[in-house]
Amino acid sequence: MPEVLSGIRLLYPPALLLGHEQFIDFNVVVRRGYGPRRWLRRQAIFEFDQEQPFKPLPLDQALPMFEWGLNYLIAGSAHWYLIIHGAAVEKNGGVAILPGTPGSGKSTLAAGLVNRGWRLLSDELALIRRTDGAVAPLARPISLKNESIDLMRGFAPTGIFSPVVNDTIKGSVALLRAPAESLERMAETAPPRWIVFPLWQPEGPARLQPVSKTHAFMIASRNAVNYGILGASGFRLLGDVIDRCACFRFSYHALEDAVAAFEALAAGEHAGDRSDAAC
Amino acid sequence: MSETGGAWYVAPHVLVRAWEGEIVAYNDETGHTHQFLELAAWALERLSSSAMTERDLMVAAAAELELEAAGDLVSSLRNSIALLQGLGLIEASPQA
Repeated sequence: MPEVLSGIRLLYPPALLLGHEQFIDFNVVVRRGYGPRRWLRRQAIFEFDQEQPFKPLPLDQALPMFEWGLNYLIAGSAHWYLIIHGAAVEKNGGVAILPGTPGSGKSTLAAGLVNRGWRLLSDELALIRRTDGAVAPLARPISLKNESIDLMRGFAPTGIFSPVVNDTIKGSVALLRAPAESLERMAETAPPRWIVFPLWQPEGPARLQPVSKTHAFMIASRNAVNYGILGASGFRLLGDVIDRCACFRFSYHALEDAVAAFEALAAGEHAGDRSDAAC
Repeated sequence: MSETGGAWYVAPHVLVRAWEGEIVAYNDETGHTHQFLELAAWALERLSSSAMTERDLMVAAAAELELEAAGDLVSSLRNSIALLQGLGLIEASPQA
């Protein structure tokens, strides 16, 4: 589909686009629906190994559908990682994992940070390697929703955005290409240093509040999509990650304030940062 | 209280992790993760180090938590033990 191809070319660098002869993890097809749907209320269909894990969506949602489908496949199969539903960004060699439910503002926060010097490791799925607890990059486009689209256009005017798709199940959606440096450093893992649970609020200052490690463990485990599959090894690994990290609840409204709070955190200026960062 | 009066110990299918007086425990038989605070956390952390009878736990709790080994502490500790046992996190060995 040209809509998907042009979106991929816009959002991914040529170096990441592989030829047919190279190894691929998932055999995915996004195509138009057949039959009358080809002309009336046209639809896009996502196929994985010739199966259709999702219902078709309106044709203009093909590109977001491709990205959501990749998330689904990675979350369902990459069990050599502990996968936390959340963003991951890196500064000064330490990773902040930002677990969050949809609407918590984690993608907006991640997009703001990576456009102010932080490196994007991932937007939707933080991948924690089971062998050593390092966070692996998956610097795919950041999925922005509703008001955060215009917000980020103003915050990152040189950013590369996909066209806005309206009336999706998540509202209006646009994809923001990962910054060049994040894409160039896609092979570079980094140790986790902070776990921050973000919550966007309609008003108020940016506020980092330490939370207990057991509380952080429970929330992170609920956001870990394959925690149940990994069983005891997932418990041990998440415990090791929590050991290494300072854990916070973070509420914010203005993105500039949020970035400033994270800059202070990265500089070690927050009193609640008790991590030894000895990863 | 153990029906046999024996020592309580953390079940072999249970993993625990403690931070700052709080604890999380994973039951590998049920797949459930639990968070404990205060007395239940204290008891589970102690039992993860070594098996203890209820009486030993009571004495240790009174000493470490600076409480009187009677009344509320007895009742609270028994409730905590019952809770941990009910969740399959601790088991009792037969009385020697």
